[in-house]
Amino acid sequence: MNNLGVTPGFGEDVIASLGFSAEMALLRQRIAQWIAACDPEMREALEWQFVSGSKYFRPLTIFACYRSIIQGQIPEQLITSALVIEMFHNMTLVVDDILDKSPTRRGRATMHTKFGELNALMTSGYIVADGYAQLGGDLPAIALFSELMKRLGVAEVMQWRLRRQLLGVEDWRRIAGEDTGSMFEICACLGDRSFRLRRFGGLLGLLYHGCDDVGDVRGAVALGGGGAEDLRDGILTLPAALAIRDPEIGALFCRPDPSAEDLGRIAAAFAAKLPEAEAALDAIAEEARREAKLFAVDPGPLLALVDRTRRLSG
Amino acid sequence: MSDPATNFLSGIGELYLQGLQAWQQAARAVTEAGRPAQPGPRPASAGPLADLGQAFAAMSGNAQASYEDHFADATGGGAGETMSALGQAWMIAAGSALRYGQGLLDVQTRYQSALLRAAGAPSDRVTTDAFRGFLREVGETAEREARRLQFELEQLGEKIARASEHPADPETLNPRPYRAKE
Repeated sequence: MNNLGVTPGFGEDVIASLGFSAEMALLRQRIAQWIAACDPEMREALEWQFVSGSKYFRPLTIFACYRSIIQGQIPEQLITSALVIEMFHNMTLVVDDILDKSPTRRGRATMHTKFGELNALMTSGYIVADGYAQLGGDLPAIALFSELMKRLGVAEVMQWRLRRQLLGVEDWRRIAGEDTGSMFEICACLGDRSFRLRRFGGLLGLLYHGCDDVGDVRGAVALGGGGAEDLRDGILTLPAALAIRDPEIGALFCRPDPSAEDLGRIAAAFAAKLPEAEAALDAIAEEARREAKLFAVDPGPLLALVDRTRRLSG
Repeated sequence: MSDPATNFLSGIGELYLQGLQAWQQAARAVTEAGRPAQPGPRPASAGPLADLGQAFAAMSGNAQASYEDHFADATGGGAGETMSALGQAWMIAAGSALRYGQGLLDVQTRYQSALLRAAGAPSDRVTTDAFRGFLREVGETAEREARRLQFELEQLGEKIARASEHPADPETLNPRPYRAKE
């Protein structure tokens, strides 16, 4: 399973360079207000989850998409959308960590490790329910978040079903497009309600997912540290899709219980495919740039997002 | 008296058929290139895809010339604004059709070696993946161009709507091609 939790490289400098410092401060304030208003039974776990250093790349994508179409201040409705996307994102992290049996994330204990699995699962449900409540009467946003929840569910089930199989780059594109791709597609649609940037969002998510895959192989622990789990579980990452074209590596990848030696050989084969994976990511980044130039009034903020995302592979 | 819109339409129709013919010829040539060589002289050519690229470039030039022939003078007439908008719409549509053809050509060029490999050998997983990528990109090219066409026509529609809400000074909108007697 892909753990896209932390986004190194997306710091205050990016937020400031895109001119969204005030909006991000407002978003942090809204998150704090929301947690303070939650049931006291849930509050400690929520504080643990939400103060753990998110760089707010999804909210940033919402704001950048809005600004690339319409000049002027970010409306209040979009701050709420940003709050809810951050809530949904954190729900996916909690569930991912339980499934991956990850003891830590962003350098601290995961929610289920600290509070137990029952608490973590119930808190994730609470987050989603309250996310919808936060949206109030914003019906288009409700429809978009419903689409996101369904697509994320399908993507995770599909990714699990297709593990340890001899598949290709096209299969990887399909899985990643529905997983991280759908998250950023929805961000783009929340930011620009004409949906003109939907495809751009999908490509940005695909790029993010691929950079994470490559970053994991490079040992970029800060990217979320999902590499070891993906390798163990036989998840189809971008380097995996390229490496298993070799029949010998393909056979090792498909073993239900690979030995440590097998995993070592597979990891080495993945590493050997990094230049090819980087070339594939360059092509996806170029597709995203083309979309931005074709459909945004001011593609500047979107091109900056693509460039920053592309650097995440290390 | 000739109708500029009808003439332009007919011109675009001819160009479309020419493009289609060029595309079919190129596709045939690519297919034949995957087969064993036949005896006899081959026609001098820089290659089917290069020929097709030239055909698209020529079509683009012809479309512009056809637009200028039929619509350039119409903007000064009584129904100038409508004719101008109609002309722009047809130019957008024609440009879109040409870009679509060019886009398909780009995809074909990028995947040409993989497609030729697929034609001459039993398929393996690498070839199958490449073929699936080719099919996906063909579909994406059509989908992207459709969105682009829709976007450009929407922009034109908004421009016309704005112009009708705030009409400019008639004197400057349709300047008379002659000087009034003083």
